[in-house]
Amino acid sequence: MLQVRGLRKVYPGTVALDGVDFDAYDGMVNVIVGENGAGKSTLVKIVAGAVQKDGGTITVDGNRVEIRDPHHAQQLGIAVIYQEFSLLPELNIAENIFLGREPVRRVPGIVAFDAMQRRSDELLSSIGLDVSATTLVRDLTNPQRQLVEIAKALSQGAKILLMDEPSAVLTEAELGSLYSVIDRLKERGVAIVYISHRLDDVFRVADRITVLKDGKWVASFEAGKTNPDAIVSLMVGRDLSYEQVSRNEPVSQETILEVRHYSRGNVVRDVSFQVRTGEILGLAGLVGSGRTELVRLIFGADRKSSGELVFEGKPVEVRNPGDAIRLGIGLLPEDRKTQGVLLEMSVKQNICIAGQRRFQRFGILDHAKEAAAARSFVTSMRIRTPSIDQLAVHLSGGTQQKVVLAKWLATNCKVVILDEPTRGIDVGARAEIYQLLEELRTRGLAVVVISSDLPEVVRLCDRILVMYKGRIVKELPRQDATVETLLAYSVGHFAQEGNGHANAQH
Amino acid sequence: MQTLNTESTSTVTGVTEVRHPSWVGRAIKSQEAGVLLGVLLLGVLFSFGTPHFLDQTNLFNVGRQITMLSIVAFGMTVVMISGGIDLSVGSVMAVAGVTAAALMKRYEAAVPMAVFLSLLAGLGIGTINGLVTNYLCIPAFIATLAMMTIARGLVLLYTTARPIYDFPRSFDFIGQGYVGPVPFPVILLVIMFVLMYLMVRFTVLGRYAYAIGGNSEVARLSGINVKLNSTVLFAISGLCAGIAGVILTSRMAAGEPTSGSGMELDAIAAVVVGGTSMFGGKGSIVGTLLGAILMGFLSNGLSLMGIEPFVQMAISGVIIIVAVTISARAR
Repeated sequence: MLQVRGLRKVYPGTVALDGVDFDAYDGMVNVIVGENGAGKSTLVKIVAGAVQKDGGTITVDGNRVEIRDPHHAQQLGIAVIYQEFSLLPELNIAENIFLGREPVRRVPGIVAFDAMQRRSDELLSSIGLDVSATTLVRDLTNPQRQLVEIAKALSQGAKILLMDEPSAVLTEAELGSLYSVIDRLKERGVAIVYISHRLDDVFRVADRITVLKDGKWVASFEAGKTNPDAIVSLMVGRDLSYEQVSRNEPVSQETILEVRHYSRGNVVRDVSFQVRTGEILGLAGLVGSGRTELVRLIFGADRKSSGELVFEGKPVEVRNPGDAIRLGIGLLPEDRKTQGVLLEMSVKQNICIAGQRRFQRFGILDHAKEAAAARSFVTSMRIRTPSIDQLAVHLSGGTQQKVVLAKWLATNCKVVILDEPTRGIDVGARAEIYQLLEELRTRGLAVVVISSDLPEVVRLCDRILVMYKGRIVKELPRQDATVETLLAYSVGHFAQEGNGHANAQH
Repeated sequence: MQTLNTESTSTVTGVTEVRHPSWVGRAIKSQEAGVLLGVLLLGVLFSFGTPHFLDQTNLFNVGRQITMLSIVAFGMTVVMISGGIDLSVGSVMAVAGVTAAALMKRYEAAVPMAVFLSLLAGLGIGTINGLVTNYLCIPAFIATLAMMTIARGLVLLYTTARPIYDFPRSFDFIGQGYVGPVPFPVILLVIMFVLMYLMVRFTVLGRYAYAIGGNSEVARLSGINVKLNSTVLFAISGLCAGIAGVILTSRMAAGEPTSGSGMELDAIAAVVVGGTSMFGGKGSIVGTLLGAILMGFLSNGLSLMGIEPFVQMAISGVIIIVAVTISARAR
């Protein structure tokens, strides 16, 4: 059992942790929730030995410890599964699990591969991963990699397992396997510390919930004795209803974009649909159902093998993202850090980069115009940054996402496509992004949202298309959409209406 | 307003770096700080170590010595900011220099025409580098390494490995002339510095170079024509190498087929000492100029102190490591 008392950490200019108490019990899932900047990851880093505390005590199984570095934490039985996996893709599972601790034969330096594989296979089957230990990590899916990380932690004799946003990389369907592994770990008496932004997720796994806010401990509960609304209001410190987004009548509603018979190999197969101004159109479906691939074709990021695009009534050809931007289409991509934001560039430069044509004359940058535009977006979208010259790398995930959205609005686009806009973003910032999308809809933009978060799709979208194996299998208006129906169509379970395949082509 | 402020501090909780509010703080933190410190330190050191280091003539001497290195390094900087590298610059210098020499000597071309065509040759090779890198999708390191040997081989073939000399007197001015007390190459250096500085800081192309080097996929998805812009940057590097080649030919009064060899490494050293990242996305022309000055100070100061050239080489290497360490720490 892990006990933290009065934990304190000060960074120049900010107090990241201010006297935080936290207990992690053996055989339980101990959840920490809180907005970005609440101090969750600082706490994890201190317990993992990645950073040093400035005050407070840490006790493991009754013994007070001073955790010097990650190696020391490992010796104490503490392991961390970070959001970004630390596996080497070109090595196989066994080599990854025993990296740096390879079993050797009697001659030192010669690796005992057979023993390594046997022990890895045992570990994998003990957590229910049905894959040979000789499989290369690059051939694994995200959830499988996560399980390998867990197996690695167990092989190090972990008694306390810290999981930072483990559900962020998983789809709805994949969550189940994570939960079942967590159950097995609980049976083995492992104390699990689980950090998450997703409240639905939290309430499915948690035994205990601790709320942090601005580096301070706010409250701890047994999971059964509280509810999401109560937790949310504690996290944000204001009474913010999880569901409420004010809705207004849009200024216009007409078809702006028409996709006809779009195809690319087996990934996107003969997809046709229309996008209207003044509406939020949802694209639901599992990861791999072709949603991301479809919008990348529309945006010109990938080449389609066939299909036509009609924009504002005229047939158009989009060969690359530049063409799409000139028409007035923007795409907020799936992975913010590798596709959306330029981490080493400033807020201002990020906002202006896609619409750079508007902020220059004869190839010379118009610095004044750039600054004015950036300031106006920072104010109107409540982008929390000390200055427009702040580098994006120093901003929180939610703030970065707003900067990427501002980048597209700065192009004066008419259609904005958002691929998983709220993944890995805390509740407060999510609500603000919903509100922004609603404002864009009201202003007459066409908004297309891809999301794996089905409750989000249901409460945000006016109309929802469900994709399954590269096709659109169902169109649902707002009033008919429920999480259950969306999930059923997403997993190819059309039978409930008896005419599922008739609906496949609308 | 008040609430907005408290919110903004709460979102950066957990971030180790805190912005310095004043320009002093920014200057200390800026990427050029380390190399500037190095330049000042060496300047002080040599001014005590040798009597004539800070003389006007000696400083102009240093300027003339670093002209070609700086100009080549400016081109290298923009390529490296965009995440590329150009190993062909030394060979391009030889191509441009020999082109000018051959046009004047063998075809009796007028000086301006010879200069113009040799710069065009540099630009052309740079463009080919860009096209091969971006459109054949070969890593810049390999593409320009190949161009390095191709260009060198062709120059040696054309000249049968012998220098071409005996030019019109007016050509000498480029590398040997003076305007008042100022060597003409130093004036060229200043002009190129200003142009390249403006290009990087104030043009869309400069901005795009940072974006491409920072993350080329983000750049592409932001509608930037990555291949085209990158090709233009390679062309600029070729042009810079061409200019340096012409200056060198004029200064030596000969088109040497072996000239410029090893220049790519000196240029990369100056660029990296100046704080530009080997991985792209970061860097500046000011830093590169300071990096070149640092290297110029070193060879000049050590020579004045009477230290053997071979020892100088070893010391230069050590100084590069020290300078890069300091500038990496300063960030």
